Amino acid sequence: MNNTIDFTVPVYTVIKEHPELKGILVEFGFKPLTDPAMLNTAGRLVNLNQGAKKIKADVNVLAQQLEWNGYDVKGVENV
Amino acid sequence: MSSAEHLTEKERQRVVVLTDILTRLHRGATPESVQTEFDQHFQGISAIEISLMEHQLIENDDNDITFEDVMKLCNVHANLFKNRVTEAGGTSEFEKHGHPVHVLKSENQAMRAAMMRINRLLQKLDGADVESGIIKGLGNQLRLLGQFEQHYQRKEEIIFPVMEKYGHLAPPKVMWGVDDQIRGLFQVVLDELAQVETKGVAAVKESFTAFQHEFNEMIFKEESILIPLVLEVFNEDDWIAIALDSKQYGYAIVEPEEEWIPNRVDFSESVTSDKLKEDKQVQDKAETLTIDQLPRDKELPFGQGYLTLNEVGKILDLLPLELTFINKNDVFKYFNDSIPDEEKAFLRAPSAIGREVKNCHPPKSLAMVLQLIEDLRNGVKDKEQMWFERQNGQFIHVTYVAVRDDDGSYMGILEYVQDIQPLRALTGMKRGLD
Repeated sequence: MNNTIDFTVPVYTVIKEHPELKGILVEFGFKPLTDPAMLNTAGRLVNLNQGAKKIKADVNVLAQQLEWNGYDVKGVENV
Repeated sequence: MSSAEHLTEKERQRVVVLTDILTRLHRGATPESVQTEFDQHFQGISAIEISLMEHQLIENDDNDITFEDVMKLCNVHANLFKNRVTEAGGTSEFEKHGHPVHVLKSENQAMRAAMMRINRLLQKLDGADVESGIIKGLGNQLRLLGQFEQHYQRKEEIIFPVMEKYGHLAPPKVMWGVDDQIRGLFQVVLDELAQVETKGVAAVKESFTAFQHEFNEMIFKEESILIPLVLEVFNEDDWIAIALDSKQYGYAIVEPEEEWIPNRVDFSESVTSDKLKEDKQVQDKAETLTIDQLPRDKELPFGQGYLTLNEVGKILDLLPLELTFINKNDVFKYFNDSIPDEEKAFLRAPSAIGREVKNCHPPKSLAMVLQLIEDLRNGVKDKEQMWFERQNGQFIHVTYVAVRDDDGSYMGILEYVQDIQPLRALTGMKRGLD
């Protein structure tokens, strides 16, 4: 029952522990997550910090979105 | 089933105490006032025994105890078990991924986590100006938690029928009643959230607290009473059927990561035949339904013409209606499969075939259902129609019609259900081809 999201672990791991986050992440802009193949490949290599950079989104906005959904965040790297 | 003659003196004593407690609840005593006495007499007694006793008392006509009283006892019951929860060692089948019990427990855990997030958000909203981002997040999380509906439906539609098959009639009935109360409490939370801008956060918070209390109690009842009980009575074939039926109802928040493949797929012959004997009634019914020996392509007289069995099956599955048939003994016997599950107004599970119809309905609608069956059976009515709108835009039209033989004798009830929204929306005319 851990509600902390670690921005430094692979997205794959985050989704595995919190499958319910997928919708929020896709809505935020991580479109490739809808493809299980992408989740299994790129998802294992990229963490949320790196992912946000890749889609040119502000990682702090993502962190706030998660907090507004009741999660704690850790490891958010400010650019 | 268990009859009074087989009871030991001690067991008889317990029945007397339980009757007394339930009678007091029936006359208005609070659950708290009976807790101590209950603990004292039922410490160390298995959930099954208690549920069997409750069952006997509900069925017994020489007392006033109803299942509503047993429902009140539910919390008392759960409190006792809270004090002595024991975990079994080793990895059993039900601890494996994808096993229905594992799925239920994982869902409960995910739903608990969602409740923690919701509480945190409600706390954040306290005092502060209503932040629209948080309100949106709160809506997200409540929608997520709302998936408990799938969890409850699987329990009610797939697990309860198997319990009934083994004679455990009371626990499903009682739990279904509480499930419905919880559904009502959740709806209040959603309604309050929709009005948060005018009524404020306090009302949301209050309604959520009320919901959360009952919801947590239900999680506890499932894990400490229901699951131990069904693990004791269900066999592996039951679990395989349950796992299979589960898919069409869907899951709450977390989906099974892998399919459960039991170590032993075939239930051994001897055990199966024992179970068959135990379950003779249902099996007999199933046997009369067996049509495997009949040639699928032989022409049979139907109405004004002829159809083969194969053709009948295909045609029934093409009619744009959800068809359900219960026979003259009120046994759920048939449903067709022409409408995709996600569009069905009433989902049916193959494992519920052979189930008595009075066990297929939540307590709150049962009286109406039984009344309808009686009226159709006795010829007071030949037909009853209902209609309602669904949130998904469907306009559902339901007809129950008595099926009678040529000599007028009652054969059962056919229910047909249709989404008539596409028809209601038609205007003008179309007389050519697409």
